[in-house]
Amino acid sequence: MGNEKKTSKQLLREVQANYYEDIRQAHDRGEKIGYAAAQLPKEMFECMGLHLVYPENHSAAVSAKDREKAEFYLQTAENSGYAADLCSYSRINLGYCLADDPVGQGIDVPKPDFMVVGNNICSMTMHWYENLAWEYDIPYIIFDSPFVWEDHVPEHKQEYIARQMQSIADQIAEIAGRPFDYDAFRETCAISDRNAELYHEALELIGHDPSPANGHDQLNYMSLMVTMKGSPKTTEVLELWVQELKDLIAAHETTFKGEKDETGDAKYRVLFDGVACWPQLKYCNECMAGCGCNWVAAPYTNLFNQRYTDIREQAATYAFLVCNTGMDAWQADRGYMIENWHVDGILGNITRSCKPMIGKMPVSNRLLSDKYGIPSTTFDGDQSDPRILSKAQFETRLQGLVEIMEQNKQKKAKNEEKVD
Amino acid sequence: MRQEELIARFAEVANDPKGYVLDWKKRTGRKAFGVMACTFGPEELIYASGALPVGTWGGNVAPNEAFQYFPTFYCSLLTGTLQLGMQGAYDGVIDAFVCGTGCDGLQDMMEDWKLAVPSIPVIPCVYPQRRDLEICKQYMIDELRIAGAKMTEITGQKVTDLLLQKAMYVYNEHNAVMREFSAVAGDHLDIVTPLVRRNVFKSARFMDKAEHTELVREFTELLKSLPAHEFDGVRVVTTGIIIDSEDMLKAMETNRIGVVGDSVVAETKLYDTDIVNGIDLYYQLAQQWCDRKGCSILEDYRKQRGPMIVEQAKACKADAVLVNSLKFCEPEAYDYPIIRRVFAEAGLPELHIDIENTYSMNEQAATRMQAFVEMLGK
Repeated sequence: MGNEKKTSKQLLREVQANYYEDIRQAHDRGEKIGYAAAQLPKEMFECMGLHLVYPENHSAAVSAKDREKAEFYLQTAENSGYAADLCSYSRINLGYCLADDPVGQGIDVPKPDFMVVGNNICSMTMHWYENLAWEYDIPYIIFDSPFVWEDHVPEHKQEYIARQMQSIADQIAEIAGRPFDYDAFRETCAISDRNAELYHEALELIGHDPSPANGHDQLNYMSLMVTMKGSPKTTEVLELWVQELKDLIAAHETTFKGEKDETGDAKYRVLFDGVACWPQLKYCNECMAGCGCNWVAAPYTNLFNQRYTDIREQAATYAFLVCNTGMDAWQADRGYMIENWHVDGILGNITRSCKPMIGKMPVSNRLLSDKYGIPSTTFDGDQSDPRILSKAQFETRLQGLVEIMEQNKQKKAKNEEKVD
Repeated sequence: MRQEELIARFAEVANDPKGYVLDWKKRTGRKAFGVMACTFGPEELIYASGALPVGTWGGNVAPNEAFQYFPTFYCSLLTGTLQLGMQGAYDGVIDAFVCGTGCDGLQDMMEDWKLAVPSIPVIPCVYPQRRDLEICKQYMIDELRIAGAKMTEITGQKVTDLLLQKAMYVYNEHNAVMREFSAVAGDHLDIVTPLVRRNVFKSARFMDKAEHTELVREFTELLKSLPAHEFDGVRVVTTGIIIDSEDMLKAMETNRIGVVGDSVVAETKLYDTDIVNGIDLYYQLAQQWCDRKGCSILEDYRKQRGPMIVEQAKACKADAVLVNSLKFCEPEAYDYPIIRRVFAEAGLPELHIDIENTYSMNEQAATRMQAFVEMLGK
């Protein structure tokens, strides 16, 4: 009865709330808790009933829910010698572990019993996780995905990753105290593949012109793809979300609240590059909506729709994550969104402490602007350090982008008049 | 006097690597390949392909053009090297750029270089970060063979086992000579000042190792023939990625800080691990990578670097350790809080400074050196 009447957002909130509670309860029962990086074959752990905390996700939640506490954890880490240039997710997480001072708000997590890291989303996560493994003297599992500069994942890189996964299965069995369950693994992967399909479909629907949703909504649902990718609960939420988006398109409606054009779409369709500014998410959202900008495309949220039906595909998919690829794949990923989702301009967050997101961004934006004839701009922000974003700069850059997008629209309208 | 000639020669190459490389190319008629900093690039393989491996570690330049590619706060080794490439400093000097990916910035470097310096092709060589399984070595063999084939395309010289073995002998011999020099230099801090020591190590990054070996061996023998010097300053082991600033090195000398050993990536860390001979030399090259330890760039959850430096400091009778950080160098920045604790627990005094590779000096660092020496009662 209950779930039928709920919206996907309500269902999502319930699932998210239960996620942290389930982990705390599991810890209280004496079960082992791992800390894991956001992009790796998490089905290997899910299928064995091992609970994983995703510190990147957790740090984002801390900074979004309690900025003062986020600053406290950042300072704790910095006082312990961690430079302010380091990833703020890591500084919040290290500060959280070192401070032993709960954040509250239902999102506290136990200390780790083992660490699981993949370097495909960020090479430096490896050192962050090493440090916690050293700090607590606990098992350390690494999923090494060599950088893929090629336009595909060559056989020797796939082989390396796939063979590592066998050794990771053995490590997991040791931690779990029972043999690795290959049947459950493949069943979990099938659920995970279905969830990725649904998530991808939802992003495509948001990219629909006119868009049925405020692009910022993607961030809420993305967390499920991080924390519960192989769960049937995720399938339930995503199926409902996809249906809602389809219904909105059919009804010519949208959840976007900002200024709209004559078609009912947001006035400007924007590609947001870089990581979201979690501590100032509401502010950024309101600012963008206030200027008629909808975030219909985001390489960041697009990072979580990997599909695979066998181990080679899984190895290749995780290796070809766009943070772990060369400029051509980086451009192709963004080019697809610009072309298919009718993007008017690019807003890039030079995410101060996230190197994988910014090292290619300046030149990539120039190339994309030239290729597609759309403007791009950047601002200085951060993923979870509340001290970095300058609101004045953000607003000025956004206004500048809007002015050029408007000029382009007027030019386009004039050209269409001439043709008529 | 021969000693002064040798010191002058090291300085000459260190300060004019381009002059050395152009002369080497003219003498040999062969190619030279850049080897990106912090990657422990496959120099033996390059050498066996007939080219001269030349370290590219940035330089004292303002990376204004490189900031079109990297954010302005990025690592100075990356921005400095890209800037040199963009301003044509490598034109005619290096014929290819061999780049690995030990950090996220290096991945971007490899990609940005292709766009920013299109006249010099990139040869990617991506090592495994994991080093504990046989499959890591198998992967690395494949990667080395692919890179080796690209090298051959440029030099025209096939990498045979005999040539690779010869390169291995040249490099192992050079490693041994550099390690001996470092040990002997600690007894002659009047002659081997921080700047002289830097010049010996810096020239090694550009020179043909066979030539460098002869010069260093001769210099070491000369030092060994002299009585040990009683140094009354602070004896330090240095650590970090690179310590290259001439002003900083002079400030160390002024403040009576002598370097008795190092755990610096651009210095001894390049020479502390030999290749062991075996049937498959590509496997042996991969094994060498897996044998490396005690360095921030390497994956190491056991965190061996701190204890290794403590042991080294004891062996060198060092009074303290000097840690130099580059801004925005994440591998170092994650390591620092750990090694700092290890040093404190071992009672090893530590001076932490941050001197960029791009800029010459910061006065604050000089003041801190002075205060540190005073604090140690020297």
